Amino acid sequence: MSFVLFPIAIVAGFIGSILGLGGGVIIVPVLTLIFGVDIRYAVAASLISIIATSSGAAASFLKDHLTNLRLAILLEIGTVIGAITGFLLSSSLKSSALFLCFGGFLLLSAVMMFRQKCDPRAETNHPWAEKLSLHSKFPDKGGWVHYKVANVPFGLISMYVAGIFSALLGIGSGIFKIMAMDGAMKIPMKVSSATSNFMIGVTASASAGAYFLRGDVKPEIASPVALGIIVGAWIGARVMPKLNAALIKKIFILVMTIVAIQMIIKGLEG
Amino acid sequence: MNDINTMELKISKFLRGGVILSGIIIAIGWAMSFKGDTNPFTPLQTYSPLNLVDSIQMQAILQNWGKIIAYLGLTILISLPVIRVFLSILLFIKQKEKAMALLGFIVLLGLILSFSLGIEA
Repeated sequence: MSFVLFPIAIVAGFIGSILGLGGGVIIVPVLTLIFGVDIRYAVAASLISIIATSSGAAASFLKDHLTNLRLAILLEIGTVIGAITGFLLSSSLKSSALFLCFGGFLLLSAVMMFRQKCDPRAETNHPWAEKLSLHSKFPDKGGWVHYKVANVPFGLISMYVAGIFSALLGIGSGIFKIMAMDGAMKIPMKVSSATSNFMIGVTASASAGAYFLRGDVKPEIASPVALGIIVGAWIGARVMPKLNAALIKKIFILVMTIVAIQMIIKGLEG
Repeated sequence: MNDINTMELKISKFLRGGVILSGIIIAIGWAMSFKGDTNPFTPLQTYSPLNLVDSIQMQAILQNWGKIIAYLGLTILISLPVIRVFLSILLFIKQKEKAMALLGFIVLLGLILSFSLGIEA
């Protein structure tokens, strides 16, 4: 019966790819609310699929010159330490608390997706950014656009929080990372998005490796989920230019809100 | 810095190959362990901790080679970002970028620490 998961994971990967999200926000609710799988197994399976999509797409992100590699390595320190914290917290949190966290995170993500529109620029580099040469450039319609990196310490703290959410809930926390890079560090949205996608694999690997060794990654669900999301993300990347992404985004915000409420209700039921 | 980007691109292409390889192995394992008449979700509705080594030993006793192959594919997949960080460190050392190499090393230590917590849990 696990074959049912394969097409669902394809849809999750497809939607995730179009909206710039990992499939985790879709696959964890499906596994828990529809199939009744314990949330810990669902989280572990979801993290595996995040590694697959991030590692598979890393080459494309770098080729487009949108990823800021140096910044990614610095911020990965925050996300990996956050992932360790999240893994440790997962051992002491009850399933009901995880459902409440997931529901709350989905609601927050829906609000952020609704508001996502700013594209600010930093005038000067933060001293750490200056020392590590984190400023860079990316290609745009009118040629190369140079940008600087602000507020690095706040970025690191935000990545730590994103890492905790990723490990606890089996998600890439991409929307959180983009918000921190775009809003606080004042990095252009395209660069924030590509750098976040590049980092997600390392963040997910930190907690997925721990869950895997603890025995929480079950091949009967992790295999169809990982394979389906790889296929879905691949299809999504190819058909994206032909789709009305704005309409899909609006529908998804509505669906996400409904799922969030269901997750919160399940959490409150204990 | 352009050299670094070129080398990172090569590393990333290697990772994409790794994802394809692990995907093929996972698919083979999944197909081999496929049982159409049973519901795989029932035993997963309650959390019952059983570490990786014990899980693999149990599958070996049950002669469920498909699941063991799937575990191999999952191991390769989870290792890919760790390999990426390790190769990036080597790259920064080669470019004499000490600060960046040190940052990469901290990330690698974090990954190792995280994995070791999974063994102890």
